[in-house]
Amino acid sequence: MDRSVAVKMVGLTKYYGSFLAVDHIDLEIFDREIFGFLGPNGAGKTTTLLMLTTVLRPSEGNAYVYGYDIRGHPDKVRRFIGMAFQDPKLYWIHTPYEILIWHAKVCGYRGGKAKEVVADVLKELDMYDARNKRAFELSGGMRKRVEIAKIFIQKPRLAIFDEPTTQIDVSGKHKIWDMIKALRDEGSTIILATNELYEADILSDRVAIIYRGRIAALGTPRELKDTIPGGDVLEIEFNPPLPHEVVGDIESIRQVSKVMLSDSRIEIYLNEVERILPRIVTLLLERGVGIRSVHMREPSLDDVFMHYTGARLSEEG
Amino acid sequence: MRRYIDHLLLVVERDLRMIMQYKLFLILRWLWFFMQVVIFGLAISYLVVVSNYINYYAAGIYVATLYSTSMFIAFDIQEEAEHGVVDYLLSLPIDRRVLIVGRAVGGGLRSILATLPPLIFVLVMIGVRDILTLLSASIGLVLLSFGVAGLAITIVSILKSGDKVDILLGAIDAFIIRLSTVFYPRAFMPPYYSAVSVLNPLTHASDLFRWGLGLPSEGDPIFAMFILLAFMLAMTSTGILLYERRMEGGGWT
Repeated sequence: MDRSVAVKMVGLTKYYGSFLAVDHIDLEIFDREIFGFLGPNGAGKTTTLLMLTTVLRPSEGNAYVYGYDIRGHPDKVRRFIGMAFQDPKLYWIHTPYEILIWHAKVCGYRGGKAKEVVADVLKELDMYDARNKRAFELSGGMRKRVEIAKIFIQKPRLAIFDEPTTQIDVSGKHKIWDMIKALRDEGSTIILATNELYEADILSDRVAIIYRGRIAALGTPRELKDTIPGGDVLEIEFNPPLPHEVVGDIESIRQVSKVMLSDSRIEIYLNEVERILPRIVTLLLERGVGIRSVHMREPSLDDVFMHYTGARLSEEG
Repeated sequence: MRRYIDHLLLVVERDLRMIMQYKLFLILRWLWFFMQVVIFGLAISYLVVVSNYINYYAAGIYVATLYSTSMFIAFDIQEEAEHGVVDYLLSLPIDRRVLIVGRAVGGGLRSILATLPPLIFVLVMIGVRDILTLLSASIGLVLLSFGVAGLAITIVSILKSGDKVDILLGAIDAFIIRLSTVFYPRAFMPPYYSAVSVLNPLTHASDLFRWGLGLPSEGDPIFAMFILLAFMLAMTSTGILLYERRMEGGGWT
């Protein structure tokens, strides 16, 4: 992968009044990578992206997009950027076709070529038949597709997708993921803000976990998973109740780094799971715990998120 | 340079297209205008001492209609803000000054187009004495509509609230139309009204339009043109400054 830097954030900070939404972010995003911004709603993802697109002005710090800083050269920065917003930005009275033709022209396509590229993208997103409906007549998923279509028409050097597949059905998600990968292959750098773990995991070359305005972790999905102590997760479902001392007993095992307990499930983060598993099962049986199932799995990005933030993304998001 | 011009034309085109989609609004507005002139104007002309008052009134009410149609862009921008479209526009690879100038020009131009039927009605009703004089006066009307669109952008940028914009525009409308020569000559105003009306761009636009139509007019056309040009420049530049500073960051209610 080409490691030249597409985006560099230096102490990027945003306050809304006294509320600190983005807290001194330092980050580099490489050219032609798909960079995942993973975090729950309200973590600061969208605010960071809006600063990059020069829609919001930073309170402190700066960012550079292909060498141009967002404070000093916002007009030049925007020439590189296209953003598909989390909430589709469609004026209710316009049709998808009108919106996209205008967008295409703004991005430099002329008459016939604009019509051609808009038609192609609308067909690819299964929106061609709905092209002449007014925005207020479209379903949430259709509006989202129109929003995303802007970027596939524009093909910007830096394409920003803010939660691109919310409200989209499963087959549509796969289609959009393929289109995002194709856009990267054609030369775009992609920033993908999402609170969907699977999306971040399968698409991103690197992921930053953002939580409460700060970067909590950064690396490839594999690197992040490997940073979890033990790396393995043992999930045991049981028939409650679980005697109090059991958790303490499990935690006292040297290879165990963390134990999470819910009503009828216990999650154990540990090393050497193959060796320790019989010991834990024996311990539970000796305490009279009825085991319903035992699963071993590698950590997910949710586990990584949990590890770095102390919270579950699935609960926060 | 080509890029800036292309973008300016696209922004203007977008605003022109937008008003043409309010077909019912336009038709109702034209109907209101015709009723206002034919019923109210005619009736009131029998009551006032100014001779041929209906012509005076028709020219004035056209300027008032042009003003309120130009102001309509404030509601469009407000609606756009509430739908998040302002963020989208700010994220585009368009120079911000080009964006705002385009909106002011588009807002002004579309008002001229949207009020063409009333304008034609007035021209047919009153008649055109000298086409060149009328064209000169029309430049003043264009300046007025651009300036009012700039004022609308300024107001919506400051307030960021649909309710507040509605209330303020209503208040401004009440003052700016009534404290002008839209409905009555300065000679008939109390002195303090008259003094204020001289500062009002609608006064100069009305006087200029009447001059263009060959009707008796109180103002000096050159001075009126100068005032309207100054109004347009002041409002557009304020709009540019505030739109860029205030639109960022949302905060719309």
